[in-house]
Amino acid sequence: MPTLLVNAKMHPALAARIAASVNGRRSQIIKVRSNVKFAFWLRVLFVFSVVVVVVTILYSRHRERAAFEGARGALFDEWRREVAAITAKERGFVERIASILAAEASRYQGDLVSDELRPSAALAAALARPTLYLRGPTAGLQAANAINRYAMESGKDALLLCLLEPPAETAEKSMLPKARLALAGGPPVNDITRNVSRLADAVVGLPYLMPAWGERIKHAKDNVALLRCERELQKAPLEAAKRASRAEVLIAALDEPNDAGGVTELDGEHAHSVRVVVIDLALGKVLLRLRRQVDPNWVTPNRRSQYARELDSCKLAMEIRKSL
Amino acid sequence: MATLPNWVAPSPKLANRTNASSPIGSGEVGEFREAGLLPDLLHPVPWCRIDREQTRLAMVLAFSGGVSGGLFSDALDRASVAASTWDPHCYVRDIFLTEFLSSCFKIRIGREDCIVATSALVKLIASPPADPAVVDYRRRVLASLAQSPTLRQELERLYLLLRKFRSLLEAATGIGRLDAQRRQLDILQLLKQLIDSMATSGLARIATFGQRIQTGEPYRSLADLLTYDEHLATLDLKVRVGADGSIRGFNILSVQQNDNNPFVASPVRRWLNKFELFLRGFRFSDGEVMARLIDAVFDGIEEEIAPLVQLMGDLEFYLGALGFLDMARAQGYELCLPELVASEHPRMLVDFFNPLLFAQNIHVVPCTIAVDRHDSTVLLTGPNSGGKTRLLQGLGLAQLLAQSGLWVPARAASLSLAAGLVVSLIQETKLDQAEGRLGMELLRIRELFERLPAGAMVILDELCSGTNPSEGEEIFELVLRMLTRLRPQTFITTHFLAFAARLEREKKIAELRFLQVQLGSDQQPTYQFVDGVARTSLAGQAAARLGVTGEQLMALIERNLAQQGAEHPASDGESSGAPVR
Repeated sequence: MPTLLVNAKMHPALAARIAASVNGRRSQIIKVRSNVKFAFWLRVLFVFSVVVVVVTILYSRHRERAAFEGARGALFDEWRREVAAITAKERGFVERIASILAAEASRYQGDLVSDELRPSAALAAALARPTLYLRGPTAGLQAANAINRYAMESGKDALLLCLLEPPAETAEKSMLPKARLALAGGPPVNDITRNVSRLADAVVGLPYLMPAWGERIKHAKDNVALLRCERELQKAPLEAAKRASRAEVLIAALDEPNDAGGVTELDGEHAHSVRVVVIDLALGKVLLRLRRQVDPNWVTPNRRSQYARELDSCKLAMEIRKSL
Repeated sequence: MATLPNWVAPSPKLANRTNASSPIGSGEVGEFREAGLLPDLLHPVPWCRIDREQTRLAMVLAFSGGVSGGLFSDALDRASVAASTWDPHCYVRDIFLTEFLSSCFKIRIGREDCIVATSALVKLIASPPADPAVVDYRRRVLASLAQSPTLRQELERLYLLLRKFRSLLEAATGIGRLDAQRRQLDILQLLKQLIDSMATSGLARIATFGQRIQTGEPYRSLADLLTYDEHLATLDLKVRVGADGSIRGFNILSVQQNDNNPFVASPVRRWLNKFELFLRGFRFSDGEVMARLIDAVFDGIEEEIAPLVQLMGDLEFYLGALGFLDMARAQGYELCLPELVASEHPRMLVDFFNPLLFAQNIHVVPCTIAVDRHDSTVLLTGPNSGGKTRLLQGLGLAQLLAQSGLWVPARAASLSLAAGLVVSLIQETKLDQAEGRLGMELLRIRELFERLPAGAMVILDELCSGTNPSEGEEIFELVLRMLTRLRPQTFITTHFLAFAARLEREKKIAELRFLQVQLGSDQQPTYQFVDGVARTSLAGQAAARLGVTGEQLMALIERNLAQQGAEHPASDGESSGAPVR
């Protein structure tokens, strides 16, 4: 049996003697090792077993890795398809809105109603376009990095409902259903505001369409991490985000600080000024900028504690519409 | 380095001899070999006298695990000797050969006293070669060694290396017991030194042997393995030393592997080697790989090791003889290689002495022995304690040494080679002996004639002293007449002075010669031997010297009686005066 102890540099006679020594022929002569052959086969069996186990483990790991890479590839492809559906401008939508709101929340630039909204049906037509709605305090929105917080807190309220579908009269009794509907939320509100998206949709959904998220998929170390990515991606409001990022009109209600004195209602309503801004995002033009005072004192006392803010909002919407 | 003349190497004529002319008694282990194959220093044609296969196997076992000593001495004891017509049983005991070699053939190198394998030496010297060419060969080697101190020193160095090699191989001193592999590498290292030393030896036969091994593959593999053990790679280091002088760190600048060495392998290959051996049932270690390499290298060179045992015996033969020379000279005596002459030439021993005496630190008086021819019968007469028996011992030893190609204890000598030696000096009484003293002596005489070849040397002490002189003399004369037919070189002592004087006077036996102990003016023996027959044995002087005169014996008797009387006064009184019931 040839041996690795021999090499080409060796004299053939020396090589032959080394082979003889390794093969135990010389040892057999001097009766030193009698069980070399048994030990040889025992160790061959042992090493073979070890090799089989190692190969099995390696093959199993290789298959797992291949499956993992397949799953990662599929998830990455799915993500890329989603990403391909939005433009780079849409990916920077939240930042753009934040900068607009920061500007509007700073020093008030005066009331403005553009000519495009003067016609009687112009507001309705504008609000029928894909729209983004946000309401928040001027003090908070001046900081660009605070927009996520206010985006999450901002919902579809009575101001939006009454802008889109104004009540027949400005009497408290007429506006009360809208106030209740706004507080109840749900499908009826969504039906009315079908073309309106919340900024929260973009804030929550757009990060999943950013390159960082693709890197997270790429660098997922194991199945657990990849599964987490997959579940997050499935739950992410990608469609809502895409829809929000494609909004053509921005409606923003910016609450100025409460007036000094007076009473704050249980729902937080207090007399203060509200800036309402309507911007054509496609054109980058302010269509409307108005500043109006709201004060819940006009609300019937027994409804004030529960509906003061919504009734004020609806009344504000009515005033906006009236000012056109 | 001293060099020897060409005669030390076997001549082509001798080298071409066939087995038909091989020494008698060489046995199945003996064989002639080509020049260079054997470092035989005792025979002109190299001859393997040890059982090569058995010795080789014993050495393999010793190399593998060590033996408890005796490997070399056993092999030498079993070694064959050159064909000889001499029967050691006829003289070894009587001339005290073992005692002589133990006390005189001492090897002292520097301050180290070396223990000689005496039994092997006795066997070798007790059987002197029948072939004069062998004797001549040994004499020439010995003469060269005596003349060339450099050559002797080389041989002594070689002998010391061989002794070290034997010690390591037999592991008698326990060196290397803890690390068997280190011990094996040490043995191989020493073996290489031995071969290198032999290759540069001044003795052509040893040099040829060493050079032949050096040109072979096994030696190259041996050298490569030892280099591999010593030098796997060379590292260039840059050492950083701190302010206190201690080493704070070092960088390896380069690693140069000794790639020319066939045993050097890459790290991966070395790991694979270990793995392969593991699979084959060995341990997974570097040591196991090295063990296989050592095994393979020793396997190649082991054929050449067995003759080293024989070489060691040969060196002890010559270095022992040189030790004998040193010892003699230190005490003011001289040795010589005798001139070998034909038997009809005179026997001459100048300043001859018995080495058994000076080995006992006894002051020896050298004498000169001159006999006109060798094939004569010399009757020695003289006083008791005159040195006759010592002379006979010395003559026997001298003849044996001369026949073995060694020094004889004399300043100058001319001797003739004898066909055999029979010595009868000691007459012991044995528990199971069937005859009386005379009967035993007659049996010895019978045995002598049964075995005595023509031209042998016969040494007899006080022949026929065990019976009355008149009858003893008849047998004595009969023996003398019969011996002359075999033309032996005979020395016989006797106290039959009248008988000897008659033989001298009658001259009926032409081969008879007479030597007597010379007496000084004070009638004391001078330990010199001159022609003639002694007139007295001076037994009275010996008796007086040993306290056996009439007066001395009477004084002893009176003293004993006086002591007895003092110890038992009462018993004397009772016996003389007390009444008896």
